[in-house]
Amino acid sequence: MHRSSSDIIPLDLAVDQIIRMIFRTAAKKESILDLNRYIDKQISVKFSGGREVVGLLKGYDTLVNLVLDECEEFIRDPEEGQRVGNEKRHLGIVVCRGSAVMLISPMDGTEEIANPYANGEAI
Amino acid sequence: MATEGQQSNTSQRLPLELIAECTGSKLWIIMKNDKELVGTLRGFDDYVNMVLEDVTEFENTPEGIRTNQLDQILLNGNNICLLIPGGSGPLGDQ
Amino acid sequence: MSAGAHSKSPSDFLKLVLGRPVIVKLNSGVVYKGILACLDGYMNIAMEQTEEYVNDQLIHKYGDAFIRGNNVLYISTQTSKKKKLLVEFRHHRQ
Repeated sequence: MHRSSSDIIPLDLAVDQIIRMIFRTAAKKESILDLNRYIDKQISVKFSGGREVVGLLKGYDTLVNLVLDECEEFIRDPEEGQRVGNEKRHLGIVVCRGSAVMLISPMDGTEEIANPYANGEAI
Repeated sequence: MATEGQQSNTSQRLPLELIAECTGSKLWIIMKNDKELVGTLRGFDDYVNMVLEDVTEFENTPEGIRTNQLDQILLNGNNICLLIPGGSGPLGDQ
Repeated sequence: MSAGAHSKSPSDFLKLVLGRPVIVKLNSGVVYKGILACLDGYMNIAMEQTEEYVNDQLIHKYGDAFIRGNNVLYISTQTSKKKKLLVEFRHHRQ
């Protein structure tokens, strides 16, 4: 008796499909980085190399390239490369390269503390 | 219509789309180090290596800003940090 | 990633400058001027008649030179002043 090929699938193929299904659900569960929550919110971004900006998140992609609106960059000391106070320069709408992004943090819930090193000796 | 992989969000601006829209117009590029460039964007690839024309190169040094003029360049995308459409440059704004 | 008709991708640029005089600037700030003999997707570069400049000062000449791509900041076309003037002249005529 002839059976059509759609009736059965070989066992190894079925096992393969089940394994794939398990792994797919595990992978899709949740990304640790859910940038969608920060859309239209103010975020702070630090880059490898020491630059630091704040701006409203308008978009992103899987490589963590970002679009920020009303973006401002903190001015740094040209000799030490450290941020000096809260002096900023206005950049407007910008694209941040994902490969340079080191840290992203929402401004909401961030509070500034007094510089504990401001009046002490240099360490 | 939801695109695969990302939640449907019609208001989202995709970063590389924004850059593609800049083709033919001025772009201000800030590198990881103290270099910045302003030039007309002619094209770019997946690594965001960029072809730029009529480029002004700015280098922030403790002594001040050094500038350099270039005709047409292929900029290595490796050290790019920020891309700003319109490109007023470090001296142009304010 | 092909944009408008007037766009030029990085690979188009590389085809254009092959065999021509170029300026290559490294991330360290060192500049090499010479004829672009050969290059690959990593921006590894082989140059001929190369001059090495540090702080705008000629410090070395090499017959052949090979630059590893990861050090490259940009590759720039090297147009002579004469050519530039001619282009400007043409613009005025139009």
